[in-house]
Amino acid sequence: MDEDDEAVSRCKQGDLDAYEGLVEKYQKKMLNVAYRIVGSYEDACEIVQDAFVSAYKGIREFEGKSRFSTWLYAIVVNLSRNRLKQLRTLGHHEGLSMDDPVLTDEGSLSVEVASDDPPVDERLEQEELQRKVRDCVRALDEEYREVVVLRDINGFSYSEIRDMLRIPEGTVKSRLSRAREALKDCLKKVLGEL
Amino acid sequence: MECRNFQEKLSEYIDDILSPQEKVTMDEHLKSCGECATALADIKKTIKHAKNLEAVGPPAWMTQRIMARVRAETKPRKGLFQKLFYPLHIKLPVGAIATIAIALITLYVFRTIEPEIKLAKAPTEEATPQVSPREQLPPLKYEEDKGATPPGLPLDKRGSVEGLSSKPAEQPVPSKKPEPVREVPKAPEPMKQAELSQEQRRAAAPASGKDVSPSSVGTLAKEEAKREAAPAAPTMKAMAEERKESIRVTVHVKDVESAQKEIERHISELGGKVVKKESYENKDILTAEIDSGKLKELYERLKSVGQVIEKDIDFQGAKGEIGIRIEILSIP
Repeated sequence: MDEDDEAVSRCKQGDLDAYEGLVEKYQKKMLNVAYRIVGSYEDACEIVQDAFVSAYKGIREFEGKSRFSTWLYAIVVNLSRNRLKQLRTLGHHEGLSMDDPVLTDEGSLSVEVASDDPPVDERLEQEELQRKVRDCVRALDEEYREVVVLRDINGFSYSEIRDMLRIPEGTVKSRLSRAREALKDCLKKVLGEL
Repeated sequence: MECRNFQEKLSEYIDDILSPQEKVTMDEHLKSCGECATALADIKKTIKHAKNLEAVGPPAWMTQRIMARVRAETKPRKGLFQKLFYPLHIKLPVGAIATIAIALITLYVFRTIEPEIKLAKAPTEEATPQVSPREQLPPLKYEEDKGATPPGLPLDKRGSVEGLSSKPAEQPVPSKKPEPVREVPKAPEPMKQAELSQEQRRAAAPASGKDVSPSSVGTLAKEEAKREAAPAAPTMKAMAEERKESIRVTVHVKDVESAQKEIERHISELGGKVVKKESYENKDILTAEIDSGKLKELYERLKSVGQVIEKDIDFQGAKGEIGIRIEILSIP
């Protein structure tokens, strides 16, 4: 029994207040999924809006075979993939290699940034670490990035990831294993020590 | 267990989704393999770094904007008219094309029906005799005996209703009755031509189906002259008049004016109404509508007013309200 069943059935009858409740409940996690996949906060906001509008338009066709939240996240992942394709077509988003300097919002971050100099402040050190990890996640292949974002960052189960990505659970396991290896390699490069 | 196999299962080992037997095997391998233990520790740290990434929060306007878009989706969709014409800055070409199309269609329709519009004006002028017909038309006179029956006047024996739609070919014109010689002094040339070709045109345009009496030749001449432009197209009004006017009676009286008033009174008493009056030099014409049931009585009363020429009128065939045209001629 899905905890959202009642709200979903009310939405199917046109209850917008019920839908607003679902929006409030899931928008943050959806935003984080989109943000970690596409890497842009603005794009992620657009994707979440589009996802909720699409979900409302198609809510009458939602049969409840999976959880409503899983269905919502699947929409977000799909829209995020489409956005990345769009960016690639426009030439805005170049594929990153593990050996390339990692691009950050502030500019280029060299893989040799690991410095022996102690950070001035622990907070700054923490921010820097966050940025490096984030950039390594962004540098992953799209397929790897999706499973890392869904499993390690957002904590979804293997079966939920299987439903969202519409791939066999065995594929989820093997893909996640390789993705973690790739992320570990990147972090070792930018951090020196894990 | 080999290290390669161990590292393949490392991810599942961390997530604790292995079978108990696999887990035991891996635990045993870990105790004896420092390299795999390091690999395990690295993956665990990697996952920890990923988990520690700070979550971003949605902007404050997010819910509001989403719900505004959802509400917009639930609104009824625009109709075809709105899609075609709004917003104007986009639909302007559509509007311009539509305007041109309407203008062309209007022009085409107007040009198609133009002759009929011109003809339709003729009976309108006749129906409102604000200017006396005497001033408009020259007087007519019969050269022969006034008691003779003019052609076309004998009524169709089938009765008035059927007579409404009688065609010229079906109306027997008694050959024994002489054709009156009509003299139209000072008539313009087109008018004369119209008279001369009257019979031919009657055959050419049977749809008009209107009987011609000598007394109405003046009007007819005018009508015919107008029809020169489009002889085959009778006007709607003329046709409507013909439908009403189905019985024609000629009454010869000494005093046309007083007889006309008397006949009007009779019509009024019998519940009828006079719809048209025409005055000429030696005659008046009354066009009236009366219940067909009162037709016989009217006929009897007309006899008291003067000498009624027509005698073979079938009152039985008539039904409902019927038109009657009474010509009041003066006896010299």
